[in-house]
Amino acid sequence: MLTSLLRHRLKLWLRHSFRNKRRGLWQALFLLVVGGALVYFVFIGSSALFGQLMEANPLLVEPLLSLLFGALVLLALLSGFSLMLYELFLRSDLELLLAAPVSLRSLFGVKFIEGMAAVGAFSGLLGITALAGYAQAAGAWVGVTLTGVVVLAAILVMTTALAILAILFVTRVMPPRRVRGALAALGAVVGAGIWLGIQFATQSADNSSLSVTIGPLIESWRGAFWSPTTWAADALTSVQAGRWGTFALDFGLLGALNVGLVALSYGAFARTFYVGHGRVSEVGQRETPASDQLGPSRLSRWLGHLPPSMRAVAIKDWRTLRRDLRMLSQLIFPLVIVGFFTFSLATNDDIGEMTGELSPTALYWILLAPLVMMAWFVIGSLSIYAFGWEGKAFALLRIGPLRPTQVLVAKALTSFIPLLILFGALTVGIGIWWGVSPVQVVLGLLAMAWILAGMLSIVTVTAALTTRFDAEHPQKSVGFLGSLPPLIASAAFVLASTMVVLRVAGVAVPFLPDWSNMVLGLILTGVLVGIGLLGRIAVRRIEGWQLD
Amino acid sequence: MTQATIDTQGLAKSFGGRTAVRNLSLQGYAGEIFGFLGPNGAGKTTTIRMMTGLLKPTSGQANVVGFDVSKEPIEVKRRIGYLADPPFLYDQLTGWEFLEFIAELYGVTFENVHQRARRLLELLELEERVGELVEGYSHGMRQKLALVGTLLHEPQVLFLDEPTAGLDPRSARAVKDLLVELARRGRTVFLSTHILEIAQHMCHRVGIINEGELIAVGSLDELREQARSGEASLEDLFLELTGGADVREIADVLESS
Repeated sequence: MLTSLLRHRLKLWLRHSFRNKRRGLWQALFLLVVGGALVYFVFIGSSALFGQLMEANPLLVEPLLSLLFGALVLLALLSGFSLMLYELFLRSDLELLLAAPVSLRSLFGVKFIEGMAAVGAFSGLLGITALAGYAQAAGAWVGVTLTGVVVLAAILVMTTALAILAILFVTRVMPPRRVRGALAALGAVVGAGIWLGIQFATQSADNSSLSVTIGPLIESWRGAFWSPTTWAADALTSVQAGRWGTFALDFGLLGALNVGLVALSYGAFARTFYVGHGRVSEVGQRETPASDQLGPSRLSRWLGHLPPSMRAVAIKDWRTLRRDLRMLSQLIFPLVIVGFFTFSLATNDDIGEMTGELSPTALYWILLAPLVMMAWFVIGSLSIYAFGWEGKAFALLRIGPLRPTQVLVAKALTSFIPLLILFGALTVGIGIWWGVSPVQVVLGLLAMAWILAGMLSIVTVTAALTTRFDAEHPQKSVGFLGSLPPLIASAAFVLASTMVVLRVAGVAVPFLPDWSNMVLGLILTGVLVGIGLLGRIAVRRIEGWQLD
Repeated sequence: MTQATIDTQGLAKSFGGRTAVRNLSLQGYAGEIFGFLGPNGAGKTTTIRMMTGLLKPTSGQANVVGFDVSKEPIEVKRRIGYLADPPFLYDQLTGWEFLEFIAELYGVTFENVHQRARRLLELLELEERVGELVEGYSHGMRQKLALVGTLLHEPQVLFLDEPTAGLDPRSARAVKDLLVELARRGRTVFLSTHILEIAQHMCHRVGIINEGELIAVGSLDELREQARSGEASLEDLFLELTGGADVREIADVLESS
């Protein structure tokens, strides 16, 4: 039964992956280039790091290997929680499997193997590459690499079992659909925290030697003899050194732990699966506020000057977005990045010396830069999904009496209104606090509105052109073409616009390239013509959009 | 029933090499409930989607409430309501918020249609749950909410794809009574269904489509006359016209399996 189920799953996966040959080819090429570059850099980096360490302090090699396995476990767990939640409770074919005479053991087997494959696809690739880097630096024989692969597989089994246990536990207290949003937020917070920690650690360290930088971190990791990551690292170095007894002990410990964890996760699955499954359709209950029953909402009254159909789209999008924790959590990382860079700039002495001679007006414009950067990140995290939020329900907008241009404008306004309120207020607030002239504040506000409008126009028309409306979740509706090119075009637009505005305002700001007026004019014209052309194509796509 | 609110001429749709609907010409009138019947995959939903402007026909023309659907889709959409099967809803909105969205989408102030929405919700016994997120609705509740949304702007022509699918008997009865009342008030109800009992008792006329072709259209009596089948039920007529398996064939299949 298990083999048969897995065979069907594999067939489905292959069919899904190669459904659209043209897109499949582009995706394959993209993955090959990006994946190849990633593998190359991880291999080079790992080889260099282990090489440096072997010369500087060979005793730290094993703890570093242990740290590497620890990082992989963390990475696999971060993605593993949400993947296992989906595998265990949210897959659309779950009811079909449960209705069929499939034993709980087979069901667990399928979920475990599929979950492990999903979890291991990325972290496994990274792990193998990093271990290959170690093997090269150590001049290790082929047996070390093979042992590394087996040990890595054991680590993935362990991680999958842990993820299953965690999900089964959490879904006893919270409905699975709510867990999904909470996990996304948690993942974003943890990811941002780790990134921030690494930034602060490497910023304060001597960058001339990587081994010195991470030395204390490795040291702190040493001595965790009870940790499976230490056993994994020890198994590898033992094979390299020919210490077969130690290798057998480490390998035995890893194996026993895996068997124990798999058995434990199966036991928990057998006992509690139906508890979580029974709560799959449970969602948040929301009491109807009196205002909903008595007439139009406050939001609707507040946007009274907009045409009703556009107002409807904007309000609907805001309401759905504020309840989608998965989407909102995408904001965490960009906000942390902008916050960190702003903090770094503010505390950097060199920058302070450079800006010390600038006029207050120039400094005001420099202070607006992080705001624009933040707006760019927010647009890149949320607005690119303007059409992805619709999914198949886009048919409602097509059935409704809305022209395609109205749909486009409504989608752009959905982002533009809140962003203009937020960043406009910040622009004015900074201007007043900094004491620049009202003319400069108004210019700053106009520049912010212009920049936001431009970025949103680029992103909205691209979203209309590239969104896959049949995607299971908005995050999966936008591919490479819908994300990277519009964000690059937006960045070019922002840069050119900023320079034009600064020239109009008569402010000289360092750090910006010295482009001539003609180059700036060409960039802006190019972007505007591009928006116009793409907009026309987007209108045609919306007009001709057909329900499959 | 003199004014044709739905008028299609030679409507056809092909998907790649497969023809889903061919040369379909039919009329629907104000005050009429028109039942659109056919086996699975016969082209019912494709036809409705062409009439509502969701699909562009490969050839032919569809006029609804006096407007050409291809040339003036917005004017048509203002005046029609379409209930899809399964219905389109936003899971992250509450029932009320969804209705507010639909009202504004059609340019109707929610205050104006609020009482209407309440009455419809009460009729379909959904008023208790309308403050909850649609995500938690059962199939029947989703169907009811979508139906209320379809009726909110008082459309002249209603296109309903399996409107009673998933409804409990009491709600299904309420929907049927509602549609009869709407037709009595001069609305056109274009109804696609597999439930022949509904078509037989509610519809003024029925059209039967098979393999993309409209093979019969008329009142039940007219169909009986066409098929020369005396007092035959709509089910018998349907099976005869669409080539359904007879009892002997079914028995043979069951015996051989």
